[in-house]
Amino acid sequence: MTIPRKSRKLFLSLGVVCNMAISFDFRRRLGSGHFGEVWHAIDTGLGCEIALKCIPPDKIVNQANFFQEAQALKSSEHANIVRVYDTGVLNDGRIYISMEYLSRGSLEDEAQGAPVPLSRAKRLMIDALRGLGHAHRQGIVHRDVKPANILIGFAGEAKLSDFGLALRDLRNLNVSQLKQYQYFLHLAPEVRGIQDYTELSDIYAAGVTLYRLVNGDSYLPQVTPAQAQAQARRGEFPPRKHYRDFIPQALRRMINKAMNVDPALRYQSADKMRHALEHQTLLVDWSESVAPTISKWTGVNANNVHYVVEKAQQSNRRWSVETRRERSPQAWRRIGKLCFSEMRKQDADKRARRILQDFVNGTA
Amino acid sequence: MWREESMKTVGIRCSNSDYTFCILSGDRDSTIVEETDRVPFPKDYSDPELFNWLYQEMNALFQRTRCDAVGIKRAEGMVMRSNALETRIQSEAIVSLSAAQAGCQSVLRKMSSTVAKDLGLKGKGKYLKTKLDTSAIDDFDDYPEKVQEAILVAWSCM
Repeated sequence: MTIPRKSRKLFLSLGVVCNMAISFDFRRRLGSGHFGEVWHAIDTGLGCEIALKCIPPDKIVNQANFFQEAQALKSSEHANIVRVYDTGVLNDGRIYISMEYLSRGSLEDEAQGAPVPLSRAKRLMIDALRGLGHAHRQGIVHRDVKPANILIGFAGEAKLSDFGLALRDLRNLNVSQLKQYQYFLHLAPEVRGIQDYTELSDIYAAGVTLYRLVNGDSYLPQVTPAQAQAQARRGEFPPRKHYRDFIPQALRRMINKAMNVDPALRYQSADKMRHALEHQTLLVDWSESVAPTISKWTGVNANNVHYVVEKAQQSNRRWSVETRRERSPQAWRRIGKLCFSEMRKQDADKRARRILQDFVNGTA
Repeated sequence: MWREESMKTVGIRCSNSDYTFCILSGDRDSTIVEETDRVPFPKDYSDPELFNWLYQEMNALFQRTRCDAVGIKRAEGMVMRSNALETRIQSEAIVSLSAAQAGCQSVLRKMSSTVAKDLGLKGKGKYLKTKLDTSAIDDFDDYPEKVQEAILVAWSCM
């Protein structure tokens, strides 16, 4: 029950009083990474489930303040940001942060790289942007917005988490004390060093997050971090023209604006991006299965009406598009005005895309 | 200490498709319009989702402004006979609840006639357009009508 001599000396020099009475019942490791581990644990004092993040002191981003992550979470308290209960030092010298435990995990756990239904992606991203906007108003730049850091709450709402890289009042920070960790997939092109981070680099990361949610990770090219950065600076990563067929033009424009290479042309605040997303009409959630000679999309709207759009090769060079609607369970009805045959492949692609997007926009 | 004496009021004007707000500071004779905006309601939200959204919006607004008073522009007689009334009244209830939770000392719903009366005119709504001197508010005439209504109801609460 003693703190290692090295850590003890360090904390005493910082004027930290360690509370040795804290006790956690470690249940299951939820994840681990460069920054340490996150455990599902029981706080025996409070008698509640918690998520306990344990970080070795040398992995803390700001070496001048070991409790920065917990402090950032505390000062950003909001319904769409994970709640922090406590912070301190474990017996083995690691810094711990006790947070609310959300059993549904993260958006990345839920999606597993697959596309998330549009209406769900919209609502979750609205929640995350609300939390992000609140953090920005407290002067905090998150620096790590991504699906793995958006947790799902008990009511199905999204909560922004992992403020491990978050920094407050970046302009006045002594950057020599900061460690240079970066997540390349979501790194805004203008960021070369820590002081280049702004709220607008978080907006860019939120745009990439939404891109990944609606398309799935298979739409991101497989590139090295260096290639990703070089392509991001040219506006080619993520590819701005490569979206799933059913994603409407308005939503593509919105995501592309958030990912604009020029920060001045992005949404200038998380709230502005949120409002733009709130005005997207996304009435049908499509899922697709694509094969060389037949592609099938199945969709459902809020009233639980199901649709099917099928694009199939009829003969060597001719293609057809069929649209059906479920009138009652297992009783499908062909929608004649949305069925086409004897088309070239390009025309069939265009038709199918138009039909899918019209359903999403409510104009079919 | 000027800051402590200065009063901050928020004016809200709801409709069935958006809400408009303004944040005023200063006093009745020297009023500063700090912020105004018209925020449309999200698309394809069910009623419960919409109310939750509005509740979150209002919480954020009142936590951010820490205002002393909130004025809510009530529907006039014409609206009373339309379908928009239900949504508007529900929205106004949510605004009132959020303001109370945020600790606003005064939360008042006012029709035009009450606003006119509180601004020193005889209690007729039309006087707000014909007889009210708004020179204490810079560029008042340049604001859209809904914003003007939000400003006047907030101003009357100062």
